[in-house]
Amino acid sequence: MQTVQETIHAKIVQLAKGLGNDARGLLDDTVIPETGLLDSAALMELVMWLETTYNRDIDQDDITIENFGTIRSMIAFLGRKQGL
Amino acid sequence: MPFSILTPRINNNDDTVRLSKLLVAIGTLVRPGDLLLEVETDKASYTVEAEKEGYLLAVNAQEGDTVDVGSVIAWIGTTPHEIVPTQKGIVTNQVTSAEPSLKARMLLAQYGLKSSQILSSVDKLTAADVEHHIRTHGMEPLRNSAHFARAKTSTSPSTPGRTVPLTPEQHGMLRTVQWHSQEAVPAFLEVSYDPASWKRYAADFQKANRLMIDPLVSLKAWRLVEIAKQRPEINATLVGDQKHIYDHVNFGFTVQVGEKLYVVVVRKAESLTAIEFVKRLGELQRAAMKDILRPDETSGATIVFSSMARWNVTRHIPILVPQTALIVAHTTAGPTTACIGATYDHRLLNGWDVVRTLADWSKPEGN
Repeated sequence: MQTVQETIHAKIVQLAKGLGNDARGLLDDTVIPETGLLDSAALMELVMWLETTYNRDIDQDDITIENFGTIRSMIAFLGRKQGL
Repeated sequence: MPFSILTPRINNNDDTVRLSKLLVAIGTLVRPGDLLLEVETDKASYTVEAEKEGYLLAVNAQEGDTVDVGSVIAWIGTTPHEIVPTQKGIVTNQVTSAEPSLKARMLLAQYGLKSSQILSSVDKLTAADVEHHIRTHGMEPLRNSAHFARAKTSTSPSTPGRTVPLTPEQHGMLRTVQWHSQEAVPAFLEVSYDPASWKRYAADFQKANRLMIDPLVSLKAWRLVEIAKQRPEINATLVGDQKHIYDHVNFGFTVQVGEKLYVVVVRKAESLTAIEFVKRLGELQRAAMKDILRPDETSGATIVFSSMARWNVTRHIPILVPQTALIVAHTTAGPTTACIGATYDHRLLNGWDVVRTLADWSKPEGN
């Protein structure tokens, strides 16, 4: 069974592939927007996917670098929202 | 408050149509683009669609009845139990020989009415008479080509094939395309700009606001809101032979989600700050992705921004959204140069108006 980390990583790889980018080497602490692997629409799709996959309501105000910049920060944010 | 569906004009010379078929039952929840009923003349037929989401409350005629063009043929409400205003669209015998005044004539055209449908208080049909008729009949102005419908073609292609109904989204696009081609006089131009200054501006904005998502395209859209505030003539449409300048900037922004193309609308965008606008647009984009947009979030655009930069499109000439005068066409930028274009309604704007708009737009901070 995939961990949350692996599941999010796989989703990012899939979204990046759709844009012709290879995100397989992405590390948990890499700041995703700085890599250029995902454009703004793909990042938005990622946030929406997190929202539905982990059943969390995410306010627009919460979509910050601190909360979603890296895979690690995403997991921490989701945990804070509802104890993952 | 229920809203009305008006009887469309199918042919220039026919002031009445026959209700040939009801396609949904009273009480049915309908969405924009859903087919409600068919009307016909001896020459053509037309399918009337729902323009807004709601419950079909009443149809003011029965199959086979003759109905005045421009009269209310059906009512839709936000709940199934709303009271329908008393109004019948069936042909009446209220004939007046009174000559309409100029203002009355304009109102008649705006609402698709004939002077013979209205009782005049004096020997001249006045604007007050028409306004009284409009008020008591709960009428709305003819807003787009759906009310001046193009007849369905009666000729089928000679090559064999399948005929399938259009989806609601395709119907929506058809309405837009018909308005663009039948009512507007579209023209297009583009100017070059320096993409580097925009990139710097967006990067600084993103950093200052700790945004996860690059706000570049949203800020480019916001810049158009600022210009529309300063220059209201680009935030307008033509009604009859008059310019209708909108009170608010209801900002339309195209969002492609899979096969569906939405125009999400930030209402009263002029009252927002840049960061509020960026966040509101983000909310609407997410709602579009989830397919949970409310009707008021996809209607009433007064000016539009369309970006195809994501797909590396280097030029696109968008069609005008009904009752707008300008849609900006944003495309992919090269490292040192880029182009920004706009389709505009030449009845309201000339090339110089648009060049000035785009030249102002190219400066991110308006300096």
